[in-house]
Amino acid sequence: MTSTGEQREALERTARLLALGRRPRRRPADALVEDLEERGPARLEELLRSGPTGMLGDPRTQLALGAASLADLEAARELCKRGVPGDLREHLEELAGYFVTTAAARVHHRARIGSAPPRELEAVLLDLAAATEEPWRSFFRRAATAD
Amino acid sequence: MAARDRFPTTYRTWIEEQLDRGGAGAADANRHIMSVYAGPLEVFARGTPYARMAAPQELVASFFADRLARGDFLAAWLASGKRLRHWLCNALVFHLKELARRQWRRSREVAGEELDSLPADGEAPYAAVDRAFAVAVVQSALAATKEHLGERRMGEHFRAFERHHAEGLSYREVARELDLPPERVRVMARAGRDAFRRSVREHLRRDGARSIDLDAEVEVLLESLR
Repeated sequence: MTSTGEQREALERTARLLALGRRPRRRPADALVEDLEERGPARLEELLRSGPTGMLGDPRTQLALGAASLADLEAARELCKRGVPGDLREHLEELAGYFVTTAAARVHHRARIGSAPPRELEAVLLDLAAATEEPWRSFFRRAATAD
Repeated sequence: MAARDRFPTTYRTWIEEQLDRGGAGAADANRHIMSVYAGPLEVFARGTPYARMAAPQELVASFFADRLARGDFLAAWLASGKRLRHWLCNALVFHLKELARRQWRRSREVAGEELDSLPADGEAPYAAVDRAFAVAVVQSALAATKEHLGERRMGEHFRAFERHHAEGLSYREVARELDLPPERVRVMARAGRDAFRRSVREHLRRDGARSIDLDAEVEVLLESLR
């Protein structure tokens, strides 16, 4: 590598780190992560049952263990993108459904659905892994690290 | 002191607080200034006609030795309203002019007309200084973060932070290196990131940016790196 290339790389590293000095931007997923941390391990399946993903059946069987087809996952995921202004419960149901169907497609069908930047999606899925218990923890971990 | 009365009591800079502590506080303020600003000032000195008088490190060292020993030096900055890095550059120009005049009288090696080719006060070429300051802030904040986490027996948190945020490795790659679950690595790297962010913002506050201006100040420095 040329010294100019090394200098450019060093500046890019400096810029990447300096950008961390900005006030943190709140992600939509943060509301879901905080809700799961507060309400405990049963909360995720509760949200998945009562939200748009409820049409798929038992969330553990269909989503964590992979019984749902890719087409069903994409259909459920589309329903999760409606957005219900002002209703926190429905907002959380849709967030849970959105990320769980995205994760299930990666884990069980090796499919990337959606356009979330890989690095951002990886961070959200790992936050969900840290906020849940088995079998969801391993499910989100596998989704975050899936190629 | 009239100059410092200009600052409302709710806004006190870190350096102002150090000066109010007396000798020990002034020593802490000087140590901070020498460790963070030496690099940017050397870059600045290198761009002046006085660079040939001595190595930039020597010029800046003589500047610090002369000016930081003066009790009213930083109080004058507090009254200026300028970013400390820019104010120090202007002060360095005056110091270098004094050095040059002394040297010129002795040897006439530095041509007299060059004294007039320096930028006037307030027109200093700050872009290179801002870039060097950005580098110095990141290096100092990294060192502070490592120390902060190390004191709390969180050295591995720093490693997770550094490998992911500084080196650009994915959480999965860092997890493999540290033999930890990736979600755990994410939590550890986040602790490092939060400590690093606090340190960067503290450096910018010490440079004179107000709390509400910190994000804008980060953008100014990012722009200097492009």
